[in-house]
Amino acid sequence: MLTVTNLSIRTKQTKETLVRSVSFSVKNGEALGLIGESGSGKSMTSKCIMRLLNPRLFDLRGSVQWNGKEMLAMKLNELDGYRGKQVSMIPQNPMTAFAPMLKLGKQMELGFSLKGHRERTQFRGRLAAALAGVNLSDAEKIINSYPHELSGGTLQRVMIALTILQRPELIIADEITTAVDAASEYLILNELEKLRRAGVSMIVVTHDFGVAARLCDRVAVMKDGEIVEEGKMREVFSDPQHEYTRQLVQASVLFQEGLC
Amino acid sequence: MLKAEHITKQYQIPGGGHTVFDAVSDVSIELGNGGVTAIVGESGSGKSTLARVLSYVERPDGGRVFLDGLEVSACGRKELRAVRGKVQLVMQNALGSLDPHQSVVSILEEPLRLLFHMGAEKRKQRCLELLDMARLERDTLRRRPDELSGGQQKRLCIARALATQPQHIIFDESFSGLDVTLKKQVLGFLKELQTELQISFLVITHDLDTAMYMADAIHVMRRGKIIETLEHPKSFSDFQEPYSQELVKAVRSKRRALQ
Repeated sequence: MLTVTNLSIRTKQTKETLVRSVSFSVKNGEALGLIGESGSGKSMTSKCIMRLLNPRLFDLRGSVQWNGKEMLAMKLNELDGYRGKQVSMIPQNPMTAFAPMLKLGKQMELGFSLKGHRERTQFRGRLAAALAGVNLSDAEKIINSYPHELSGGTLQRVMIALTILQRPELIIADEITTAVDAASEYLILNELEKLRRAGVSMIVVTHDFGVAARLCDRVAVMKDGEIVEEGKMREVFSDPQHEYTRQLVQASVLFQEGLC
Repeated sequence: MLKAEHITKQYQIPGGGHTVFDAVSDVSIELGNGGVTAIVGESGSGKSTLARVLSYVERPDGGRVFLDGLEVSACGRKELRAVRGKVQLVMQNALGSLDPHQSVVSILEEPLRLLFHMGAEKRKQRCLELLDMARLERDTLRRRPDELSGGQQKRLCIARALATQPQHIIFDESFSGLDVTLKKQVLGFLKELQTELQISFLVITHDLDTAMYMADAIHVMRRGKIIETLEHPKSFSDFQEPYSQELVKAVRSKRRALQ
């Protein structure tokens, strides 16, 4: 369904290569974990798939194919049916992802081209249900809040509820639990797991093997803009081949029960 | 020893008239000399407010804070200044808590000049010692915070806290958001440092894994109250309270997926 082939991203100004010849694919209903740490090129790759990189700043090579169509060659006005509707990205920092001057209810409606009072009321109902699904019970309060009035964990859950409402075929989740506490992370992962079971494909960008393990069938480990190891989640975790993967695996569990 | 008795701290709810919100209500906690204590809880549970009261950055609305018998919660600004260095706070955002205009050396020298009135030669000597303690290379002295890596920034914050020769360091979510390998590195280094210097650490975190890895005693906080305290927990199963078990579930769900 999504096939990325030899994707390279280079800055035009400094000629620095940020992503080097990355290839992977995500089949229908599959979840791929993109594991790596800050600066490894995971987020750049995700943004490139969403066509969010400014062509005046970045040189893109290679190909990103969505259901057989080449996305890198697509004109901007042709992206409307793709972005958000078929492929949706949940960005890393929920604090900067919302428009600061609009109340959340208002800006959440914008993507759904609602007509008339009736559609709006219906949408509010669906919105409340989606918010309850990510453990935000007070929908009324959230709809009437500005982004700065809510915590990062709450905003991230609002973002996920919004994504769920769009019913995309592929969700790119970019470090979505890094900014939230452990209890919220648990709820968010449960919610994404439900979507997985409903057949939604995912690219889960994370530095946490535990997060990948809960959602992914396969993982690709990235370091310095390259994929250094790829394979089935369990195999990579239990028998890492690359030295860097080994370090990541060792750091992913801190407290060993029964060892102290 | 840092001791807090029946601490209450309230905030006015914005636009809520006279309604107040108890960020911390009736919390008592004791930090001995040496040892690592952790406070675990989710966002909004009052952990950070408690940290600010314990480090006398804020005064409690009720209750008292004692540092070695001195009631710091009743002290004036001048008296506080004399004991400011004894309790240090290390915050989550390393880059945000360092002055971007100052070089590493001037960041480290400031407390030496203001608290200990050290001369230039002695300050330089002490700065190098602090860098060594925080395992930072000596050539970072002339750099500015934004020229350091995330791990180096974190170490600089720790070196800056050590500069005042504190008895207690409070780490307020200092490790969340760090990459996993970096986090393990920094936590490992802090454990070594703690054994080496024998000062007391209070680790405030939402991550039970970090708390179990670091601490001898763990307090679970929820809605402004400490709801459970464990001394020397050996396993996640030691937690009894339903809310604590929710936190355990969060850690275990990822572990189980990994097995």
